[in-house]
Amino acid sequence: MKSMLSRYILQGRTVFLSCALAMFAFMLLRVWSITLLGSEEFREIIKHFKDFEKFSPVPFSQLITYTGRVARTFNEPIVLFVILIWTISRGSDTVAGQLNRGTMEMLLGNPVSRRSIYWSQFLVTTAGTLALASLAWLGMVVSVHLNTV
Amino acid sequence: MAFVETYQLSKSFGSFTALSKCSLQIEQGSVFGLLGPNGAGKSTLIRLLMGFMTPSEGHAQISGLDCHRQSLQVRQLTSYLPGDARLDRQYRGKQILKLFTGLRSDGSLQKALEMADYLELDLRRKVGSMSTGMRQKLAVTIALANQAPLIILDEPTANLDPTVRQQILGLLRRKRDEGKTILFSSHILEEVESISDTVAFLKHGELITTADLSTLRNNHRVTGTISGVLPSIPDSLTEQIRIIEQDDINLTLEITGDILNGLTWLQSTGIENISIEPARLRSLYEEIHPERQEVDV
Repeated sequence: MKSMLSRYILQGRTVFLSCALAMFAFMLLRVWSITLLGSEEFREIIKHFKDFEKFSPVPFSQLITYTGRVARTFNEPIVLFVILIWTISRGSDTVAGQLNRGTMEMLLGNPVSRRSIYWSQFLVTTAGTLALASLAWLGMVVSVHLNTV
Repeated sequence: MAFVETYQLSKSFGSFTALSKCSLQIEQGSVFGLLGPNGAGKSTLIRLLMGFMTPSEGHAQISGLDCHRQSLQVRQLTSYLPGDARLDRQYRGKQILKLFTGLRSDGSLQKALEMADYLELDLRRKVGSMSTGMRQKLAVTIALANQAPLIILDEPTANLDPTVRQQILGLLRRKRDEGKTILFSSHILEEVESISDTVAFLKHGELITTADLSTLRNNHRVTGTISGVLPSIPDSLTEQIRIIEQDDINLTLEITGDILNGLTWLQSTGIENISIEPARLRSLYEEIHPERQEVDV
C-alpha cells in the first residue's frame, strides 16, 4: 500500500504542484486587488437587487465590507476550476488511465489487490483536494496579513 | 501434486471460446513452453492462471492455491510479464524499477539494477523516450527482479532483436538453474526448444498435445530422394519408422529411438541425397499447423 501511495503521489505531482501554485497565487493577488479598490459606490446599487440576495454567497449587509469581499474570493470560478482540474485528472486516471495504457496488468502481476490500487488512488485524490482547499485558505490568510486596508 | 495444475480449464467470451477444456501439469523446477499461433489461447490460459479472469469452466491451481479465488496468494508466488507490457511513460527507468520492486516483499532493486546493467539498459531515460525493445527489456527486468518460485512470461521476446532475445533467454536459463519454475509462451520455435523441458501446443483454444523435449530429441527426421517404389517397412521397424511425406521423388520419414536399425533398412531401399537431422519442434509444429508453416520467424 505504501509503495502504491508513493507511486500515485509521484504520478500526480506535476498536476498538483501547478494547481497548488495557481490556487495560492490567485488568492494572494485577489485579496491584494481588493485592498486597492474601494466599493462604497456599490452600496446604493445593491439596494435595488435586494430580491437577489439569496443568490449572493455573502449577505448584502457584508457584501461591500472588506471581510465580505475577501470571503467572496472563494466564489471565484478559478477556485472551482483549479479543484476540478485536479479531481478530474486524478479521478479519471484511477480506472480509465490504467486500463487504457495497459499498465494495470503490469501492476496486477504483483501481489497487490485491486482494492488497494483504488484505495491509494482515492486517498491521493482526496488528500490533494483537501490540500488545495487549505492552500486557498492559506493564500488568503497570508495576503490579509501582508496587505493593509 | 504438480506445482501448476489446470483441470478442464475453459474460458468463453460470449459465443467465442478462447480456451476449451485445457488440462495440464507443470512440475516444480521445470521450464514449460506454450506454443501456438496468435489467438490460440496462450494469453487467456496465462491470465486465468494469474486469476485475472473467472474461468467459465474447470479450475487452475498453483501450489495448491486456487488461481482465481486465492489470486493474491498466487501472485505472491508468481512473477508475471504481460504480453502487452506497458509502463507509465513519464517515469525514468530507475524510478520504474524502484516502484515495482517496492510492490513485492521479495523484490530487490539491487537485483533489478544488475539485470538492467546486463541488458545494457539506460535507466536515466524516460520510458516515453525509449524504443519498443528497450521498454520490453525494462519490463522483463521488472518481472525477473524477485525471488518468486514461479515465473510466467507472455511472449517475453516479442519485438526484440536476436541479440537481446538471447540475453533474455540467458536470464531465463539462470532462473531455471536457480530452481525456479518457468512458464512462457512464444511463437518462435527455436527459443522454446532451446530452454524448455516440456512444450504444449495450443490451437484454436484447445490443447493439442504436450511433448517432452528430451524424448523429442531422440527422434530423427530423414529426408532423401528415392527412385522407384519404396519397399514396405519391415515388421520389426514399423514401431520405429513413420513416413511423414512421400511423393514421386522426395521422401521424409521419422525414426524414433535408435537410429541405426532404421538406417540399415534405408540403405537397402536405395535412398539417395539422404540428410538426417534431429526431429525438432518444427516437425511437430508442422504436423499440428500444416497450413501455417510460415508463422514463425
